[in-house]
Formats: sequence, C-alpha cells, structure tokens
Amino acid sequence: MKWPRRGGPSVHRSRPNESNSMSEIKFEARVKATGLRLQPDDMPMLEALVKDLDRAASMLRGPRPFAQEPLIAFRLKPA
Amino acid sequence: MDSFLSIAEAGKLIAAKKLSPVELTRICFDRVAKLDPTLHSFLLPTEDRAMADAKASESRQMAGALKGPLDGIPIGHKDIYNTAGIRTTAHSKLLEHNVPTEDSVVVSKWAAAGTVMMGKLATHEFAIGGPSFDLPWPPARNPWNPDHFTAGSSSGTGAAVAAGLVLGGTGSDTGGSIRGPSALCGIAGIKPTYGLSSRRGVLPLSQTLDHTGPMAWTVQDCALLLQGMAGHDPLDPASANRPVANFTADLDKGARGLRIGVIRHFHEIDNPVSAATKKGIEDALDIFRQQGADIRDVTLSPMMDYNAPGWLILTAEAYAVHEPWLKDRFNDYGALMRDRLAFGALLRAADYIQAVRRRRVLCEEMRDAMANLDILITASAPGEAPKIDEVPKWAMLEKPNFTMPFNVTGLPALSLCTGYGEGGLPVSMQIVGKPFAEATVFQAGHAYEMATAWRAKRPSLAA
Repeated sequence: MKWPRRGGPSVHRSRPNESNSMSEIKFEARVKATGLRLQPDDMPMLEALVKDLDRAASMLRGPRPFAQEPLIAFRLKPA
Repeated sequence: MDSFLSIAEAGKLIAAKKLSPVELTRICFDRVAKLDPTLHSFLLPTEDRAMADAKASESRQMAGALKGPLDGIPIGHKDIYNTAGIRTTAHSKLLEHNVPTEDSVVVSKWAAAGTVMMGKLATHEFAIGGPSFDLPWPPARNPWNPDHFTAGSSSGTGAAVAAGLVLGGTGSDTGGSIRGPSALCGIAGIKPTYGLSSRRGVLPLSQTLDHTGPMAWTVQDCALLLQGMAGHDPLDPASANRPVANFTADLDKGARGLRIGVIRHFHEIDNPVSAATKKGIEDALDIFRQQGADIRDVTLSPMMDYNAPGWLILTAEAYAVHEPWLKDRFNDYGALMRDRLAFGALLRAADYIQAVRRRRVLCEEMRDAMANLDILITASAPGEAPKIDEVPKWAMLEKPNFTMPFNVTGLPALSLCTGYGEGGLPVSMQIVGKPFAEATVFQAGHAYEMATAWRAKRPSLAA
C-alpha cells in the first residue's frame, strides 16, 4: 500500500498505531529471519529456550537512569 | 615415592634430584593407560612430546639449571588451547582435523617454564555444549564415580587432575567452567581476575566473560601454575598492563586479620545448597574464625540478578562467534551445542545492551560490598555431582549458578574442596577476591587446606 504524501522530501513513515506500542513479530518469522536451517522438531524446544531467555531479559528491562553507560564504553590513549 | 604428589611436592623433589621428571611422566602415563579408558579425560595423549619434554627437563635437573618450580611437572591442556602442530578440536566435529600453527600464549608460557605436556584434555564442545554423547569423543567422567558428571566445560582437566593423570592443567571459565569441574571433581581451580592471563590462542566463547586459568590438586599448586601463566599480553585486548604479583608470597600467613564477607543468601536462599555443602562452608568459617579472621555477612542483589545479564551476554557473544558455522555446518555441532547456541539468534539487541548496562551497576555493587573486606565466601556448586545421564539439557536459567556473578564482575574466584557428601563425592566452596588480589585468595584457600585433611584422599578408582 502507498502512504499518502504530505509534501516535502519523501520519507519513510511508520504506520499509525492506535495502541501506541510496537507490534510483536511472530516467533516463526523471527526464526526464519535468522537464516538458520532448524528442523521442525527443534522448534518447540527452541521456543521454550527463548522464553527462558526472555524471562531473564525481562529482569533487565526495568527503569534505569536514562544515561546509564554500558560496560563496553572505552577510553582512547593519545596517539 | 608417594603415589600421588602435588606440584609443590614434586617440584621440591625434582629440585633436590630425588625425583626424575622422566620417571614422574612415566607414572602419569601408566595411570592414563589404566584409568582413561573409563574416564575419557584425554582427547589426545601426546606421549612422544611428553617424554621429550621430560628428558629435556631431566637434563636441566642434572645440570643444575632448572627453570623453576614447574620444571618437569606433567600437565595437560584443555582442547580449546591452541597447540602448534598438535590437533586442537574443541571436542567438536567442526575442528576434528584442526592443527594450529602456533601455541596459545599460556601453552607457550608453561612450556617455557619447563612443564611436560601430556596431551589435550576433554572439554564440553566449544566450552559450552555438554555433556554430549553425539560428538567424535565421549564426555569425561568423574573419577569419584564414573557414573557421575564432571561438570564443564573444563571436564577433562577436572577428571585428569583428580585421578592423578596430570598434576595440573589449563581450564577456561566463561560462566564457571573452571570452578564447576573443580567443585565436582574435588580439586582446586581459580578463575583469575579478568585480564590477568592471556586468552590469545584460546578458542573464544564470549569475549567479555572468557577467562583462562589453572586447575590442580591443591590451592598452592594453582598459585604456582598461575604464576607461570599470568602477565600482560599486548595482543589480547582485555589483557591488563600491570605487574604480576607474587602469588605464593602470602601462602603461609594463615587467615589472621583477614576480613571475610559471607554471601549467605546466595547459598541459603537464592539457590539453597546441600547439607554437606553448607556444613563445609560453616566449618571453613569456623577455621578462619579460630585463626583470627573477622567474619561478617554481606548482602548483594539476588544471585539471579547477576545470572540474567551473564547468560544474556554469553548467549549473544557466543552466537556472534559461531554464527557463520551455524549457518553453514549446523548439523556438525552436537545437538546440545546447537540448542544452546541457536537461540542466541533470537536475542534482541536492546536486551544485550540492557545486560551490559546492568553489568556496570553490578560491578559497582560488588566493589562497594568489598570496600572493607578482603575476600567473599559462598558455594561453588549446589552439592555433589549428579549422574551424567541426569544432567538437564538446559539448566542454566532454571536456578542461578554460584560462579557466573564473578564472570560478570571479573573478580578472581577460587573453588576448593570442603569435604565429601552422602554419596561420597566432593563438595566445595568458593573464595572471591578483589581485582588482582589473587595472592589473598590463595592465602585464605591454603590456610583452609592446611587446617583440613581433605587433600589426603584421592578417588578410590585411582588409588
């Protein structure tokens, strides 16, 4: 579908979203996007593992200082 | 000659010309021939190389020109350490015929110290996937009971050291791979401070969590081996450019004056340990108290708070390392390794970054907690080794493990034996130090070992 143009330079615009949240990508689509050739039998196990990992990740998604640095920030030495 | 010698004992006898390195190496190979068909700790014994090393050491011995306390000591290398001209497989079909052209830095340093290289030791596939039964070689088995697990991934080193096939060996530790096998096989093993010993020439798993370190029968032996591997490597980006401490200088000072923090909630609430493990820790605290240490409890974030970012970082970084092979040679991995890696492809970048941000906070928390302490103590493992065929396929996130917090924070952490449980297998504890304060960790560990009799007992299979 073509989005209506509002004049000015052509830009990509995201689809209006009434819930104001990102849409979820289906698990099968995520797996397909990885390019890995998984067997259908592996999928339930993989989905369970991903849920486990997602549970761990959810512990890290809480509020934190906006500017908190990751540990990988680095220092340069003068040449 | 005592049938089992520590590195320190053997080194003294060699220096006094009372023990021949060739004879010692022959004894070790006799044990390999007798026990390794059961233990599977070696992937590749290198007998010709070992005998050449031993003869060279003996020549130095006769000439009064020994290189130091490691000269003539039989050791083995985990098979993710590159060895020039000697097959290095990572216990994987993918590298079944891989022969590196250069030694890894640690292999080179131990060779320069005069060690005798006995061979390449079993690992979990690429230091993560195991125990696996669908690889070109079987998994190592626990010498205390071969039906039981060694833990991983430095499984061959744990089994070989405990059974006396080698006097020490290399391990690597990304989430506990030195301390886990040390705990379940009843030996000592230290994950040094991040950056203390080079990782160059060691197959990577997760670069910001990977550590190299030694495993041996005693804490003192670990100190001697670490002395031979530590030091700045300008070609390892994580390597610390600082002088290396003398790790044996404080060994005989005892625990007097040490300020010890006990992370009790880790092993009593967050992942409750067995009765024998808990007793071992409490008995150790009594010993330290009697020697004049100051002991207090320490409260940190729950152990899962350390495990969650650790496993996210490990999964993301390991997937990045293996992605090309996963795409082209998926079925050449063992099933366990495939499963443990593949879901790294589905990890969100934002979650990885949140994990790395959280890691900084946890490092600061640990630093603050240790401000007025010298060491921390908690468990290394929940209890005795489970049966090898009862190890859950994916147990990493079911319960938090005791070792990952110190990979996340990079602190030196030593696992040592604190006795034996109801099943007759070893139990253990973990001693953690401040950054680059390995000497204090060894001091406490050696004080404990000198006050107990656990080091006098070897697996009955090896006796």
